[in-house]
Amino acid sequence: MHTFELYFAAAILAGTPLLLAATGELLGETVGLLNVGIEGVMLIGAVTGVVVTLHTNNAELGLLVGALAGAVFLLVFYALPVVALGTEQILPGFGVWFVGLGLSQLIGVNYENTPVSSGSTVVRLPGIDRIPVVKELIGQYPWPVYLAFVLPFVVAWVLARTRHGRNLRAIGEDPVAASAGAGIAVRWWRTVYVAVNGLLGGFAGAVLAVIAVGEWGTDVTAGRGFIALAVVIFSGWRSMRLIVGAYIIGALLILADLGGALSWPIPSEFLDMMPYIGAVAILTVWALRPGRRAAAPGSLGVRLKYSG
Amino acid sequence: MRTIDTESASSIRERAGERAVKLQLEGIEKSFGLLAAVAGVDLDCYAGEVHAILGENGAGKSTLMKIVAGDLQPDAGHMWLDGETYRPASPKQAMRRGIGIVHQDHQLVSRFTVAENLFLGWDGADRVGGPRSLAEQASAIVDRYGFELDPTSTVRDLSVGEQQRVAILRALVRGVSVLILDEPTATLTPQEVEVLFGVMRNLATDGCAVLFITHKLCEVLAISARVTVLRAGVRVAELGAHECDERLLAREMLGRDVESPSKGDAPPRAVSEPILQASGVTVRDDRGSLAVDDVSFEVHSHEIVGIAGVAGNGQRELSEAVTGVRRVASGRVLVDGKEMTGEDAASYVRAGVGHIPEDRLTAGMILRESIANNSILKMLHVETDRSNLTRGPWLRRREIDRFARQLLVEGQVSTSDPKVKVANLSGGNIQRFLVARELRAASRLLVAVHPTRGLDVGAADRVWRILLRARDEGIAVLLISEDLDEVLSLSNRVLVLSAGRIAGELDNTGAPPSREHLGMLMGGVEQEALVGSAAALKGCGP
Ligand SMILES: Nc1ncnc2c1ncn2[C@@H]1O[C@H](COP(=O)(O)OP(=O)(O)OP(=O)(O)O)[C@@H](O)[C@H]1O
Ligand SMILES: [Mg+2]
Repeated sequence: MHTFELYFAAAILAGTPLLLAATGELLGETVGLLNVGIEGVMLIGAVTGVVVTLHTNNAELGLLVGALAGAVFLLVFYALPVVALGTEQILPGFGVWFVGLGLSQLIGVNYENTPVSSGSTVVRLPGIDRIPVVKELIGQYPWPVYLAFVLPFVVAWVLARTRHGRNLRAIGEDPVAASAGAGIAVRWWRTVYVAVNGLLGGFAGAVLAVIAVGEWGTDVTAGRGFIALAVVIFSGWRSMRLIVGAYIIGALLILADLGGALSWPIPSEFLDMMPYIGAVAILTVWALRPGRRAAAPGSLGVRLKYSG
Repeated sequence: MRTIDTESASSIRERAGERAVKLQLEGIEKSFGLLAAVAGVDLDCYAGEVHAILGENGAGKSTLMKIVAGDLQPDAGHMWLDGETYRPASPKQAMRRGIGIVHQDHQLVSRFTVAENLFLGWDGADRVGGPRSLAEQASAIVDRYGFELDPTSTVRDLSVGEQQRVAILRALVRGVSVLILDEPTATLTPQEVEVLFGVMRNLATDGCAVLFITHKLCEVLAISARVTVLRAGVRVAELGAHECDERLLAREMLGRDVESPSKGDAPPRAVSEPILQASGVTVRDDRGSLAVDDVSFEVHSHEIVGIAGVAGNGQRELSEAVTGVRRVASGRVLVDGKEMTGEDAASYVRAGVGHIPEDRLTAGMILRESIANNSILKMLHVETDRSNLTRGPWLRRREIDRFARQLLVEGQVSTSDPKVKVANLSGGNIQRFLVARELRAASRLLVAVHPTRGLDVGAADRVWRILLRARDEGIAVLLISEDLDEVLSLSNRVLVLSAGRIAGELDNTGAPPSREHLGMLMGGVEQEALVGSAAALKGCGP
């Protein structure tokens, strides 16, 4: 296999957790809830995913439990203060990050650097898996990669063209009008989509640790949760653009490995910085682009006192 | 005055006698902090009846309706719907039980289209459907009820009256058995009021109970079978509409009589000087089409110039153009002889121009901020005021609070606490506060768009007197209103705006101009519009 194909496949794999987490965050932000603590959710998902996989020897089960753990975790540490008690959104978000960081280390202390033996099921796309080159590029990935790729399309469709999606957008635009004027159960749907955000964030972490890295290590996410947040902003809250942002950064994430393999004369520390510089650069360019108004949901990050 | 449609009102009353109680309230109480907004209200609303609720600004009408609609939870009291206990925990539950509400502040999602808003949150809407099918269904509904609306336009770009229509239609779409209308007519044209009354009568005929809030007493008499009067959160009277007249209603509501102020004569033109001079002003609306087309006029000191016309003929854009809110496409605007064309709103404030905007909630106030902060929004642009309210870069909180308190007294607002958020004031009290602030800002010119919209009869009367006093003190007043009675009883001159042009100028100092003539001018030459403005001529001032 050629270097390019390997690199391409690795970039897709590296971009997948970003894409999953960003899709979850985009859904949360659509209903007006900004969660800056995706990083913490991913860590919880990663550590539970690895622990369950190691114990059961079943990667699928590990991914599932990782996702569920993320959902429960975010419900407790984010939905409880923000949705149930009506606090502001930023501090609980940082709380999610801190607690996720600490709790994941506590859980994972005995599992550090133990390789996960059984990989997740690789799906071979029928038909494509016989064409050379193309097969290597897009034909054979673990199933979460395909799921992550398809999800933004589904989300775009639901938000733009269904009754449910319209209601969700209304909640994010103007929760008071959505509730008092249109009779939408704002609290309920906000809770549900915090859970969905946690589910996808936890899943993203589990995919990262169980499939992409293959082991648990302290802070295995290395800031990917924050990059996912940036990817959402870059997307302008349009889910299909998440795909572009996530894979570009995915490509930058594995630059150091590539540099090592090809023995580039560039220090690997510098290459390691690239995804973060890339995220900042993308956001800067995006912010400076002329004449376009950001489509952020109107009530994003706004504290809401729930009347009833 | 509008002729009362006695026939249908009495037939509705008769039917109400036979029908069962639809909605029953007993001892409803609701307090906000120390303020008892609703203090033990009983109310029976019968199926097939239009039941009017009347009361001063801040009497607790909206609060009571929000409780029925599940938006607020009562502190005490019971409700029954169709004889069963009714205690909605959320607006959703209330809507499920067939309660429809049109809020005083509409509660629409402003960045959504009309069609999206119409079907929002409704279980009966199609599960799947793109913007096009949504718009098609919406236009079918718009046509069915005979309102004029473009389903594809964004709510934010609509006039307040158009937004009102959207809110009404949204409630109707869902098929309600109790319909609550909180001051729906404040922003509708007389023709639209007729349409709405038709809809209300049909609903009542079908056995629906309609709760109707308005400050226009003639509307109460025209449409409702019974009237509940609230004062300071307490029900002070429940009357059959047939035993009432406007005087009686006003007295029940305010505890005193109101008389309409007389305009008096303006000082002769010789002593007055032109304050606002607009020449060849052309303005485009949000959608880029021509809203005001080559309009020239002057407003002098010591005079009130009224602009009459059917809504949507360029009034809003014109008012925004002469206050710096909207750019003029061509033409010139002079204030006090000073070139103001192309200047921003702050410069107009500095030039002594006050502006009561059409939409008090989005253009006039920052709802989430306190009264104190809202009171100084404009004053910081004016050198003399700024020196009082600030020291260097610092705000002088105590001075600001004192200033805000003065405004609250001047406007007779229901609270005296400048820390209260504007969002927590009743609709009419926000308007009172706004009028007081703008009068302070208007040292040369006051542009007043629907200045009495949402005010109770007592407060409207006071604002009229204030405008007349301002005129006598030498301030130029440009009064834009759809209420012909208001325009005719205050203005020295009346300009009629039709399709963005001045269709005529009438002297209003002596005998009032004939309404037929005005109607001709307002309708332009189109036959259809003429019929519409004939309805407008019936007028309905408090
Ligand atoms: N959320 C709130 N918090 C605090 N006070 C409130 C709140 N809502 C209403 N009030 C107060 O309760 C009183 C009654 O308000 P309400 O809106 O019911 O009046 P209203 O009869 O509808 O008046 P209007 O004719 O001006 O619309 C007012 O004094 C208002 O300031
Ligand atoms: Mg009200």
